[in-house]
Amino acid sequence: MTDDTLRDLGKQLPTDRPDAARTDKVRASLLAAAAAPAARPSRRWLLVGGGFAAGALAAAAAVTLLVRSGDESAVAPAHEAYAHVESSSAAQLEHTMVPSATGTDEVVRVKAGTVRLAVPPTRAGDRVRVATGDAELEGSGAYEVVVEADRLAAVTVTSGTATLRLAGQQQAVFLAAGQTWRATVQTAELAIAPDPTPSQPPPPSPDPSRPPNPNAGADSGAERAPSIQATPRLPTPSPGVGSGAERAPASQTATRPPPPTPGADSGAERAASIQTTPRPPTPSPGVGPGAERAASIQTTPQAPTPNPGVGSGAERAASLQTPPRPPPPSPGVGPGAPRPPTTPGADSGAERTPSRIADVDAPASGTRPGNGARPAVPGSRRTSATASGAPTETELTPDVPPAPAPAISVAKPVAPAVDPVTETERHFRAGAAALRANRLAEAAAELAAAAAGEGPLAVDGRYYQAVALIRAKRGAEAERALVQFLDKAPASSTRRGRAAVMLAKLIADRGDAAGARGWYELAAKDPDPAVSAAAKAALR
Amino acid sequence: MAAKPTPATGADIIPLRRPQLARPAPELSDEALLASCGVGDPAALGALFDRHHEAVYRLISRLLRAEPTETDDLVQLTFLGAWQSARGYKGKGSVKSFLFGIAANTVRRHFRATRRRLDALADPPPAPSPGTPEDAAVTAQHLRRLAAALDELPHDLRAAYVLCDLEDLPGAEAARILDVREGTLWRRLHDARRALREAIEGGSS
Repeated sequence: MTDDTLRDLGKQLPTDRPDAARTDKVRASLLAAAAAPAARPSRRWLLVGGGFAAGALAAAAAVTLLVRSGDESAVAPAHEAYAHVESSSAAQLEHTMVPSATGTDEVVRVKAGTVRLAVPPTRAGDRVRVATGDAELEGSGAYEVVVEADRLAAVTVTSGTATLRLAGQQQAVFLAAGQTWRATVQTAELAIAPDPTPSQPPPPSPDPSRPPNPNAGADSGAERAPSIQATPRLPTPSPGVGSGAERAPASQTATRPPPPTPGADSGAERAASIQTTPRPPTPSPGVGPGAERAASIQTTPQAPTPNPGVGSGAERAASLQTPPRPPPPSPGVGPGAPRPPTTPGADSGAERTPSRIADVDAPASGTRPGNGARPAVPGSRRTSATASGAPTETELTPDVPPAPAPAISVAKPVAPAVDPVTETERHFRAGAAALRANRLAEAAAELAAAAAGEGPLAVDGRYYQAVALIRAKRGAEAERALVQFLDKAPASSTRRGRAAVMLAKLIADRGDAAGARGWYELAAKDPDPAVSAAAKAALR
Repeated sequence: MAAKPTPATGADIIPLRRPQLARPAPELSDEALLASCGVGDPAALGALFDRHHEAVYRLISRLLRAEPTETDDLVQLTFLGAWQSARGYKGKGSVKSFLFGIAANTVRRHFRATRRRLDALADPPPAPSPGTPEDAAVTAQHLRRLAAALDELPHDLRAAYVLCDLEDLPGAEAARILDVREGTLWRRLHDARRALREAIEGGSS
């Protein structure tokens, strides 16, 4: 059989040749559909576009999560130790890693010697700590720890940040890159102090131009001086005694502790001080990660509470925020409330707490009732410090230009969303009201908007949209609305029959009796006797 | 200016202008109708339907054996698609090809969506063929086999066969309608012809 034979044979196959009635019916339906506004195609494309957009967002979120998790795993595998430890030959240390409730707790216990550590950013829930007999250091970056006789003598942070907690001291000390903390040694005169009790006056300041801390000896939580001021430590901590401790001048950049005065390092008289090494001006907070970010955090040493923004995530911030010692009271900061990152954008954790971001981003307006204090101007003091009349920030870091002090804020209690009226319901109510008021165009528009939603109310909205359109003499649009209603309405809907009758009448009114007949037949089977009777009468 | 000769009717008045007689408007081209559809003129859609609905009916019924009402719906969808995408007509092919392309896509979507069950449909009545009764019987048998084979044919092959062999469209145009390369079209056509030929001849052997 040749191709021509096959072609001829195929052409003999019967084809559908519609009669005039069918053609007219299709033509009328076609013109009615074409006359209706082209809402359906655009809506369909809107849905398709929305679907694609949602899919793209979901994919982006998934990729982001994968990348983040991949980065984290690349930075610090969970099964390996985070800290890279280098120690002197004489150092005595112990490196342990134990699982904790939230991850792993890696502890480098140093009893003596000089130890250098490099700690990468950890996963949320994991901790890396350096512990001595009297202090605990935690942070990410590189730092050197000098321990003498199981007591912390000095800490130098070369990169990253570190949080130092001293036994007997409620407030933590934050150290940024380039900063050194060292335990100072009391002078001989102080060493002969008979009994360092809480009532003991503070040691004299080496700087005669600076008055002694008026809060000395009166440290009681909220009124205590900022944590960067040294306080006496073990073995007999005396709160407030060290609040007027001497501070090394800015030019003093030694990272090693000075040789202790013989017989003076009795422990009771030891005080801590912060030595700030010269470093570039502090950038604005939230500018970038790494040292800049750390620097911006460090410019707020007067913060009376640990800065959770130093960590590497919200979870880590939470762990930092719950030191073994109770946090000092702070005006406006509720006890036990998780502290958000104090520097906007300074911590990835800030990105994970949107409500807190919003809180931080709120315009600073001084003290906000119940929400902690906010600096009126960047770099101003925290309310907790000013309320007590404690020394100001400039007294503590004269070599560091004042940087915008990050605001500490507490996540405001978010009221549950009370919005029972959905968009569909709102449109439906508006459309129903307009229909009752005989504002037909408005009713049709509102009900069409309601019908664009989902659920039974949207289906009813389509029905009443058709009613409004019929009353408005917009037959073609009403036909379209009725067809859409009948497409969506469940079989149990009591309005199906009425809709079918209305649709049939519309079709019959434009001369398509054959097209109307099918709808009348459908309505004739409706359980509602009134609807059924009307349809049967029309059929007759 | 010389006056026109007086007509033989003897009228004294010579009209200066001929009266505007009602004449039929010049028939618009398919392209003009489609352009009118693009700006929302339903009358143009009606004219386009009147002009091409038979060809579209024929094509759809050849592409898909369906109930008449189903065919009606597909035809209506085809012209509605043309109405909605009239602005996208670039004039690369004829309007008829444009309609055929929409029809082919409509049928393909419908075919895939419904996964038709052909058992429920009655065999098409064979067309009367001239010649002797024996020839007529053989032709009728071939037609029945061809119809059955067409139903068994994959839709892509069937579309190629219908457009090229039954609708006599040029290969390039058929390829554009089906949105395939011309080589792909010829391969499909070859496969379709071979399958149909085997079905007809194999059944007779």
